[in-house]
Amino acid sequence: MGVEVLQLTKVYDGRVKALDAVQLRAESGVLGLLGPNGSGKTTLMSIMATLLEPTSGTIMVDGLDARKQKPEIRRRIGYLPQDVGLYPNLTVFETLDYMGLLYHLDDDRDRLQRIEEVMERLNLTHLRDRQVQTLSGGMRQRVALGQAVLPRPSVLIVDEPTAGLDPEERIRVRSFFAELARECLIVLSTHIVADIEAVASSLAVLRFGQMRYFGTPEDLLAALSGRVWTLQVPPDGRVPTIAGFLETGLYRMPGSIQVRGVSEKRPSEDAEPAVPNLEDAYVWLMARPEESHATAA
Amino acid sequence: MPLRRNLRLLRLAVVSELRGPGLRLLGLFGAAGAAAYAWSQGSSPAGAALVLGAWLGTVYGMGACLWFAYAALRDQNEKQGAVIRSKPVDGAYWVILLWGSGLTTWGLLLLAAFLAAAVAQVPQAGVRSLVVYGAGFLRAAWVLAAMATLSFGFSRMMRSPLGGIIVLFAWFCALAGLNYIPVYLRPDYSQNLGLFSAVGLFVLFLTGALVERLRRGELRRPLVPTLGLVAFGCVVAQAALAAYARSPEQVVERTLVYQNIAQQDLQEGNRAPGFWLPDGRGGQVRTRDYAGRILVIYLFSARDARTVQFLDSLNGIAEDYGSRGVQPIGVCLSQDQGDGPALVRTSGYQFPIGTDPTTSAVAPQASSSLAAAYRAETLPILVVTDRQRRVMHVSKVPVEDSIRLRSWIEARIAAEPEWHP
Repeated sequence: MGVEVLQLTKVYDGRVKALDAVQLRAESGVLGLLGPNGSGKTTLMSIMATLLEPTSGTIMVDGLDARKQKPEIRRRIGYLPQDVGLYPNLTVFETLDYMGLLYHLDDDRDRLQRIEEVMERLNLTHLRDRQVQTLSGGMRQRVALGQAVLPRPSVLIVDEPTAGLDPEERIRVRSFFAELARECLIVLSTHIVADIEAVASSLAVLRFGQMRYFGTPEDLLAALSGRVWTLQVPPDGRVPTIAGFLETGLYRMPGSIQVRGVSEKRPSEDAEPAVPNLEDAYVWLMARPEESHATAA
Repeated sequence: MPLRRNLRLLRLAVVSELRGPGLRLLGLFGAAGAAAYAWSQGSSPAGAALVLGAWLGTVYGMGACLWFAYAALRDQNEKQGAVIRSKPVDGAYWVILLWGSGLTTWGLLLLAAFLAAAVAQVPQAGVRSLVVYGAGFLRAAWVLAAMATLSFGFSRMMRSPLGGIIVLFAWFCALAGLNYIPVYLRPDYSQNLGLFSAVGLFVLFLTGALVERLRRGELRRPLVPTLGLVAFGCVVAQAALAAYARSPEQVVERTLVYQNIAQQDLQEGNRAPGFWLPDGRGGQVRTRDYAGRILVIYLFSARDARTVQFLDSLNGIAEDYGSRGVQPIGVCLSQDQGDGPALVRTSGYQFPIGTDPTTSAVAPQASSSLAAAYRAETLPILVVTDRQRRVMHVSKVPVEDSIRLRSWIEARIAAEPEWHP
């Protein structure tokens, strides 16, 4: 079980470099892929899911070469792409049945048992006979997730699974991942930092196709320790411009506005030290001009 | 297990498609239209089934071409395509599964129309109509399958509906340019189905075994599929040669008998042009086999249900006057060389029906060796001879002349009562 990426590069049409010598390795838990739009997350996941050929480099999924052993890899992974498309006229049960058959789950009892189990875990049982086209976005996403976990994969690749979901659905999906991470490696791509914060045991941050950080979230937060500050600004006042202070958040408080940011030294007399969170770290990483902070390279 | 799995996958895919309102409506209207047409045809299902088969094969075939063009886009889009491509399914298998489910869906729609037509004619024509329409369905389904396969293959290869649109456009041109496009390029004619089926399977094989697997990075040993493709190519070449050889011009050029038939001339009082024509059962219909009989020769277009209906009257004459030396002979003129044999197989008529394989047009002007000999610019035409095969009566509107026909025959029998079988 696990994913290993070595010097992976993907160039589209010989011009656009979507991935540039990316390196990472994860064995278990949840590997969070974080980065802004266009950073190469989806490209990386598509290569892992054997849907795209890398231009150069090596990618091993569950010990198998993604260039040479595509069919074998497909047997071991579950994949949930961004904006999944399902047959709209099939019911939830039929959709999972169809996907189960595509996974060669030929034993009827075993397949039905798995489908029931997946529906139970994803709270889909009451939607069993509803056609997919009548489901809300969140419900559909759960069905799509269901088809991805049906074969009990050793690596589950999920691309922006919580995008467009309401908070309740998002929490439900996150909890599902947290539970599932005990059974397989989950590669979770998102640009929602809170999702990663909740479940990721390792983190890869991409920007312009380059790895900005790879390691544990704890190590990243530790690197920021003592460098995150909060300032209180009157509600009608302007946020001060302070040299060397990188603003990472702005929060409305009773009677004031709290400005949060990263700075090497105390930015002003009234600045208070704060416990770093992943959003601070993410903004800090995105703003840093350095080449790379990858620790696994 | 794979068979059970595949059947279940097929069933789920077909159920999914048929739940769509568009196809359901098409199925409903198609069945209602076919039933209404069959009901209006009275007790003669053979001609109605031929005409319906030609129409439904073309209309549903074109619908299937369009649908496959759209489905190629739908199945390969970023969303659904990504889900499916990430499954442990071989590219060729996936292509076959989609093709099979699409064809089954359209086959069921077509079947619904034919079933409705057959049931609508049962009260007037009896259960025989089920057999007749069953044969019509098989012919129409073959046309649909061949053309839809081409559309599917090209659309998937190009990853664009354009592939299917090109097939549809070519088909439309072949239909519209009736006199300008060679007969062997018409996909809806029975004699060309071998060629179009072979081309369809070639394209399907190319799409599944090579293109799709190459795209999915699964083509590790290209030699085997390449050899398969070469084999399919040979089959296509053979089928193309066969279709070309069966084109009317080639038949005339190769076969002396048709040149001789064309050189005869119909003159009242003179001997009626003689002929040898295939009888649709592997034998020949020959005028010389009926020496000494009063011949009722009927040249008709198989695609005109009203004139085909007149065969019922001829059958009545065969039953009533056969023992007195009267012999009706039907001559089917159709560019589709399968029409005559289909009529022979399904109609159960008591008299022979030959097919003129040199027919290159039936409307607005008929063109074939026999049409030339019988001066049949327009169809149908009915000729009654005496026992020496001399032309006694010629009718260009035999349908209206069906009552007079009996009086002509009675008069001939009265004039020449002597006949020894």
